[in-house]
Amino acid sequence: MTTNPFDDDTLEHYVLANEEGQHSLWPAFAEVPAGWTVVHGRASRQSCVDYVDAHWTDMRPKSLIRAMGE
Amino acid sequence: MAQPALADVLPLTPLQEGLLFHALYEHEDVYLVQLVFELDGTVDATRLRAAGQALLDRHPNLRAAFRRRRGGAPVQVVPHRATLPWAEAELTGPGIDTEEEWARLLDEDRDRGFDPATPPLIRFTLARTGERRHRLLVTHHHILLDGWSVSVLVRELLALYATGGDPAALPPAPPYRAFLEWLGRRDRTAAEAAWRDALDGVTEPTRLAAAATDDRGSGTLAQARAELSADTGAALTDLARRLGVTTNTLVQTAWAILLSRTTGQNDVVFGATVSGRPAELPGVESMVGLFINTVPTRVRLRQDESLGDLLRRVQEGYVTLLDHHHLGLADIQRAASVPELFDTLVVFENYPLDSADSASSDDDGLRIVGTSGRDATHYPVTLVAFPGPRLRFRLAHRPDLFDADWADATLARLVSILADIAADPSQPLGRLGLLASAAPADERCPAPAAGTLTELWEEQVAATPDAGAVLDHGRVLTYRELDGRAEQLARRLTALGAGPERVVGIALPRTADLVAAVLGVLKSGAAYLPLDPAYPADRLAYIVDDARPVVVLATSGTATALPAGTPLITLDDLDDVTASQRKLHTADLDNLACVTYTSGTTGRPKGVTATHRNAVEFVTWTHTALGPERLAKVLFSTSLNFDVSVFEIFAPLLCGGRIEIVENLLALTADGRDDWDATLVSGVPSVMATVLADRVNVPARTIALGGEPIPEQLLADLQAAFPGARIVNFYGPTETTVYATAWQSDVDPHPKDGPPPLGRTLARNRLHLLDQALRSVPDGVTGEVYLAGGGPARGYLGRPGLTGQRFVADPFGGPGERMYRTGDLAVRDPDGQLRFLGRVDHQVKVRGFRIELGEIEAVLMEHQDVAKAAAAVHGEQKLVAYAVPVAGRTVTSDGLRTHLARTLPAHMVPAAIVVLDALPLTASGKLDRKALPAPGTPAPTRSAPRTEQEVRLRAIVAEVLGLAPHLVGVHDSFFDLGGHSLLVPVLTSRFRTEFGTDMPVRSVFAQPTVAGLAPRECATSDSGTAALDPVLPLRTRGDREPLFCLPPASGMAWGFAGLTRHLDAERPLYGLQSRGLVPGERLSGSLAETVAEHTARIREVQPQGPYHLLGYSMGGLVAHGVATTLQAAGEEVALLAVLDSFPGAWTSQGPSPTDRAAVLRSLLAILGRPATEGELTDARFTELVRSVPDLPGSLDDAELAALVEVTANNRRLLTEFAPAPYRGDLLIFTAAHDPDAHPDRHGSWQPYVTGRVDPHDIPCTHGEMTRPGPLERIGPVLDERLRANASHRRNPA
Repeated sequence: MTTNPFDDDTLEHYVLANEEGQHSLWPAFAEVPAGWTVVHGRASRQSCVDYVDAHWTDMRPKSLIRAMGE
Repeated sequence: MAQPALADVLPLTPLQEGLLFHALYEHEDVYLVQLVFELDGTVDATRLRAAGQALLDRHPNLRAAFRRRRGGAPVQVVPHRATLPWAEAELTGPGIDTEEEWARLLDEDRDRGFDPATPPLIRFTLARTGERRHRLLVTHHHILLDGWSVSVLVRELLALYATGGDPAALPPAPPYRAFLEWLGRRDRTAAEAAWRDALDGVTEPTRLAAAATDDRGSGTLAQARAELSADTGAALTDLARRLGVTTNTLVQTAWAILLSRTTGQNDVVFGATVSGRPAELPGVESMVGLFINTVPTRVRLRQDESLGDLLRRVQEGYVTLLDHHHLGLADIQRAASVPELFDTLVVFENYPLDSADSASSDDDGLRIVGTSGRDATHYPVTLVAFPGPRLRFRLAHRPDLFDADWADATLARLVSILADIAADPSQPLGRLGLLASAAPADERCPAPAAGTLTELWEEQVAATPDAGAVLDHGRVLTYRELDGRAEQLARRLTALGAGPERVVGIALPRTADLVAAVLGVLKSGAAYLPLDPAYPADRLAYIVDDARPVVVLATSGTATALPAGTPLITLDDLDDVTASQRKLHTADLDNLACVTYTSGTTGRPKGVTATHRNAVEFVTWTHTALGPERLAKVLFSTSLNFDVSVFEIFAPLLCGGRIEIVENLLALTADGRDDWDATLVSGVPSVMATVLADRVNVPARTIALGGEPIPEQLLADLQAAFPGARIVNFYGPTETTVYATAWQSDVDPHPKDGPPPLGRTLARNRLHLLDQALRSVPDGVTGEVYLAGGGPARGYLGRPGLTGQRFVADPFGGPGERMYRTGDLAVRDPDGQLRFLGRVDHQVKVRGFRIELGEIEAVLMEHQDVAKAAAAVHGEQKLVAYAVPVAGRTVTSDGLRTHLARTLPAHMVPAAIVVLDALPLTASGKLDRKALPAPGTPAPTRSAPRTEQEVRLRAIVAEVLGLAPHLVGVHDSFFDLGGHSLLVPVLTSRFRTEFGTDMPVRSVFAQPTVAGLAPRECATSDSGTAALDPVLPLRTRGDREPLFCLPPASGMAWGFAGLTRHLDAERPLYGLQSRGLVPGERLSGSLAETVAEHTARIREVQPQGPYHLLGYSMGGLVAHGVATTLQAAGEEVALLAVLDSFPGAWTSQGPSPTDRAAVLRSLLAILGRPATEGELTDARFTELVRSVPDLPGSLDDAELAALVEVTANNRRLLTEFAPAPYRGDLLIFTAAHDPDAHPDRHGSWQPYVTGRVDPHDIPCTHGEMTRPGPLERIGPVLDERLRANASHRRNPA
């Protein structure tokens, strides 16, 4: 069965965020794509998932939050 | 014939045993090796021949013959002397095409082959090909020699040639026997433990070929070659030195990486050929014989590990196992409990063949200027590496499995991996990509969404206010009317707090009000949340609690399904909704439009949040690609719960079309209406197939299908049912908003067979196929589908952690863009088309519904009496759940079904729930999904072994059958469990190794259960005659009427054993055998007597009809006789089936009973022995029969003589066939590959059958009909017929 790096608990990950405040897990071995910054890690996969759950509390893109006048 | 005196009798190495097995079983022996030496200069043939003979004289093992002892144990028997077979050929002269003649010579030589029992298995042919130019062909069986030994022999040959064959020219040869003795002293237990350890956790083979191959070389292998650049070669040499690893390790590591990325597995196994020459053995380097062995190499890969560390780890693994390289592959596989480990082989040619290339015997001008040879391997892919300053590779592959482009591309990837390693060994593996071809340029559709769904709707209302918008059971609402209702509702919702980023639930029946409600929610600025009133209350309660709608729109009827306390507006008639003058909020393009819940792995569904932009981009694409005409009249047939409803509602309504509401797609044929007026029908392929099964009359111009692949047959049926219509194959998960790709039959014709491809990405979507390092895979390699662009939704409602794992950064898109990883597997074919291949996980689709098996399992586990649970899909989309009760508790299928139905929607409630004592586990303790029993098949109550002996034997039986041991009950028949006659020798051989005593093959047929076969304190040898008795019980269990099998002229019925596993487990199976097989018994005197006797035996087993009969060859005629006899006695015969048996002229075509050689020859064919040239003496016959360790091979001399007598007698009886007509149908299987096969042969039965003759061609010869391959085809047809008979009798409609 294929092992997807995003599901692989044995790999260390980062948490990335983009300008819209959207978060993404990211396996630490891979190059960080343009437009994303590391906000957490490298750390265990679970630690990264927990970080996203704790910090990405408003899932609306930042541009939308601004447009809605908040 | 006088046997020459024997010099020695030697055991076989494990690889020799394997090669012998192949030599005896395969039609073409791929292990015949032809080595060609180009000779330059004058050649003295007499001296060369003497030199060759001297080689045979000095190396006893070159003279070996390979035989089996009566118990089945193979030995190599070395005669004192053997003459070197020598031939000379003149291939030059006027009018002679030398190369053509040479090719013919090679082919003839190959066709001659070798008989392992007739030594020597080596021969020389010297061909003159020109002036001072010869070719020496050295043909041998691989069982004698390995490549290293060839280089030794060539050196010796030249030395001997120089001295005219004087043996004193060379020091005495170190004997091969010394190696065999060394081998005998190895600690097997330690080696097995080492391999078990090394392969711990490997549960399935690593295969490059699509499926298990038939393990049969297809003759000539195709070849591809590649070479490293000088720079890379130098860099690698340098790297190897710095890291302290061998070139072999570099090659193995690169191959492991290639396998890993190609198969998607991070744990791979491939075969490696090892020299097998133990350094501790004196003179081992100049020994001649077969030393090499094939052992598995297992590499676990981590994308975050540096390439240098990986290399060192691979080398350490190799060194650790070096002392255990002697263990045979079969033993290693057994130790690891995996029946097959790999289908690729890596050979590192680490012996100096080059010295042989240029070897010369200078004085006499004999120079070998080149060598060539064909590969001897049965693996689908073999990589041969030739060391040197620039590493060279040859990739031998089976041309029927891989084409030349594949081979070239594979070698190019291997070379590129090695170049990457050389360039930077410190980079992590995950940074390395397979050489992928450039992805096809995206067809970007730049048009961004022009407005929200609401805005586009309002524009459309303004444009076509009086056009029909919704047709609901004959009642039409215009755009203006529909908008009025929506507006009214929106104001009311706004008053209740609806607005952008708020959610409003919709739990309404399928009426025009449902559409008005959707539009009304959107007009309020909120997102709609479908709440299907048909869903179980628990699920609706969960969704309501998770999505927290401001309010839910319901009717008084549907409101009861919702949890208490849900804020509701019940609108049994929308007109009653009180108007409000409150100003409406407007949504932005990036605000949510709808929330769709899908199945979730953790047992809870998750809400996918799609924005207006997502939906509008898709809808706009439909307007461009399909156009308003095709969207003019669309059936709205899909539940609002599925995002396909967005397509069915908005694609037509935002371009002036009209939707007609139906309950579902089946409505098209349900109520006999035939005035459907729809231009577009959308749905799921499996449901559409059901609709097509009835006559459907819809003038549709477009059929849009999605949710699951479209079978090829359905595509053809659709094109026939809707001539000229466009068929659209949509693909895309809910997370990417309705659909992400589309294939359109007329725009993108699909010339190939098979289901249509996924097509092109639509709107702004982009599709990436990535490997486990997130690198693009090359064409032809399976990858996971990632979708980026306009489709991917915002995420999962209130689940940031889950969203961050599935909607991830897109390394191929613009800065900050995201892509959704689908979990779907696909491949891009050479023609650029994408093909869907399945899932990476346990998500399944049943009738288009997306289901996470984990969700079903989680809900089952919530039941207090369930300890363990599993779910799987069997056969034609049948969902099955398995539960293991908590110790001391009992559960019932019905109870569990009720439990599941409380929480899961109907499409997720399994069709069958099986209660098990334990779940099948793999060796590593994980759930073995493949071993979950299909419902209704073998009773899961397996009797456990009672003694240590039974435990060990059960383990062997399980291993041979590739099953987990707990699935083998001690009273289960070997044949029921999937065994066939060719596996019997494997079982007996394993038994011998494990218990040190012989298990007679016949006892397996007599008592095919663990309990029956387990060795006891007393005599283990069952020399009884049960296997030759007139009734051979192949399966006695089961409550259906038995199937009786009548034998061919050999009189033996053991060949039918392979049929058991194809038949309903509840149907017993008996073979009938001719009298006379037990030596001393009287032979049957007439065909009538044979028929009467078999009839009597059958009636002893089954006193009353209906009877089921099957006969093979002569047995077919006897079966017909038995059938008419039974009918004459007033009994019912429900099935008469024959295997390649014909009345009339056929009966006299066989050998004359008095022509003994002809009888023997025909008997050999029916026993599955290879055809033999030359005179067939009794001795030769005996030898050939015994060459295969199966039941006939185990017969003693008297029994074999009796077998011949029975066969000759049966041949005589055959001509007496004078049938009475049989009342009923005849099922006949004919051997299509038989030399005298012709299409209408079965017609000769028609005069003797009142019903239909139903012929089935089987691609085999007459003698092969009961071999496993043909039975794979025959068995299911028989089973289906037997089952149909059974149900027909139960329902005599």
